[in-house]
Amino acid sequence: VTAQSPLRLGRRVFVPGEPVVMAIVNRTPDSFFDRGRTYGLDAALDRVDQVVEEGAGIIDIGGVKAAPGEEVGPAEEVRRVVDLVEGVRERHPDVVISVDTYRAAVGDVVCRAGADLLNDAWGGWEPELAEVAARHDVGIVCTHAGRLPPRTRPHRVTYDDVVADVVSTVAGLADRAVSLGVRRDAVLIDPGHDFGKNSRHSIEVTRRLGELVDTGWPVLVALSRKDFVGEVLDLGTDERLEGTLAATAVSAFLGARVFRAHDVAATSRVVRMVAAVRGEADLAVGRRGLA
Amino acid sequence: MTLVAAAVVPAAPLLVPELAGGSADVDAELRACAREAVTSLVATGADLLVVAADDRTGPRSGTWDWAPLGVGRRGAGEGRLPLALAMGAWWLDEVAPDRPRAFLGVDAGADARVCRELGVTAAGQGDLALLAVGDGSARRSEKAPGYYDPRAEPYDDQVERALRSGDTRQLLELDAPLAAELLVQGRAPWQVLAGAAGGGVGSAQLLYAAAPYGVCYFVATWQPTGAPRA
Repeated sequence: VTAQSPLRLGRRVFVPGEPVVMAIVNRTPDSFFDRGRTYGLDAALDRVDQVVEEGAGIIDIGGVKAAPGEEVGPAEEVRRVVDLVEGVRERHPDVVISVDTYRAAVGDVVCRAGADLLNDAWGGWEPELAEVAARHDVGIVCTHAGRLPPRTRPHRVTYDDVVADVVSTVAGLADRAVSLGVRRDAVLIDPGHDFGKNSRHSIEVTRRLGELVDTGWPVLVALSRKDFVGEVLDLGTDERLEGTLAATAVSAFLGARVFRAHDVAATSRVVRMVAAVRGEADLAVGRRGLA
Repeated sequence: MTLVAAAVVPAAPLLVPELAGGSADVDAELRACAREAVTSLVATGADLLVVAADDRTGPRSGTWDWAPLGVGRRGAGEGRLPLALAMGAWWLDEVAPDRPRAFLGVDAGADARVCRELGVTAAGQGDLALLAVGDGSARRSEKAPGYYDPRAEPYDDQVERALRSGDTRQLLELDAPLAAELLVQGRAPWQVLAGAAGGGVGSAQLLYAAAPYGVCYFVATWQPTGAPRA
């Protein structure tokens, strides 16, 4: 078991025991939950102001939805995200800006525009993305996506041991990123819930998240309103908040440090509460029985 | 030394109730059709009961085991079959757990000639009942595992016509590279079936053909020319 150490991204240092909410801000017309609500630049900037107020430490900007659909080329992806990166950088100099992309060419552009973190949610599909992170001295998220190509769905995927596959894949990607020159304290690992996994695989990864935490790499979980929550409860995306928060609480208790979320205020409260239970956060107000 | 009977059933794990969880009753019709097909297959009393499904080519052994899908349940005996063959083993356990069976893997990329030859060889080894496990395209809708592809439905239509009419020639004409693109898992085992049934098909029955989750499922039974009726 390797101990956790501080995570340094942009101007921020996140120490172990300090949970971080990564707010999802999509500049897509068709993402599964927000369905284009922040496709326009003004709407996206308003949302960023709001989630920063609600406690987000990282803003994760995406220009291509994860599910299959309309083809979005690199030029269009850049068009969608780069002005938002610039706008956030200007309005919120201290917030960490992450861009959710699997393309090295897009990563290069957004790093020049001020991004601090590349969220490689498709598991190193373009190996050059880690080189881009190294070149710009930004962080990278190393994700397990079951070796599926970007924007594909799992179909009858099997694992001898899904957690073992996740651990060896993300630890391998993390070691590779460091060997390419990415700062060790700017690398995160993400088991990739739903990516290349059926719902039981995602649930098992959640239950055994401690095995990822034991690698010493800071663990990011992206749980928000995903199908594994929907399949446990048989509920659509609009009704998955409580299920998401339950999985969030369990992940936080098991040692995850970054929580990618649509519902920032609720997630912030949950992870702060869990941090208190873990003995890592003190009371905001301490009067009961003490007056 | 011939094919006595054949059945075509889906490879979809969601047909196993303990994998489908609370939605197990949703696919009752499809499950009932498949059970009927497997029941009629084993009722023929053929010497050899062979499951054919996509895998690397060659004989395989073992039983079904759902651990790789995240459920700790398995059949009796040693070994773990790959998923599509495991589905065949599970169907046989459901209907006739005591009947000995053999497993024939056929590489998903094997061409029609190789598949046909595997079928011919299998049918040459005794009175054979063949269970071909596989599905049509997994690209039938936007929500499908492989997203929508307009070529998927015509492809599945060709399969449906062939299975309905017992047309081995039409099965052998199924395009292998296109099957791979369209995530058609049944093409190779169906062509094994076509090879095994080389002598002609006396009667064919299509019990099910539909794509409820963007994946096209088929259930069919074939009795070759001259084969005794079940």
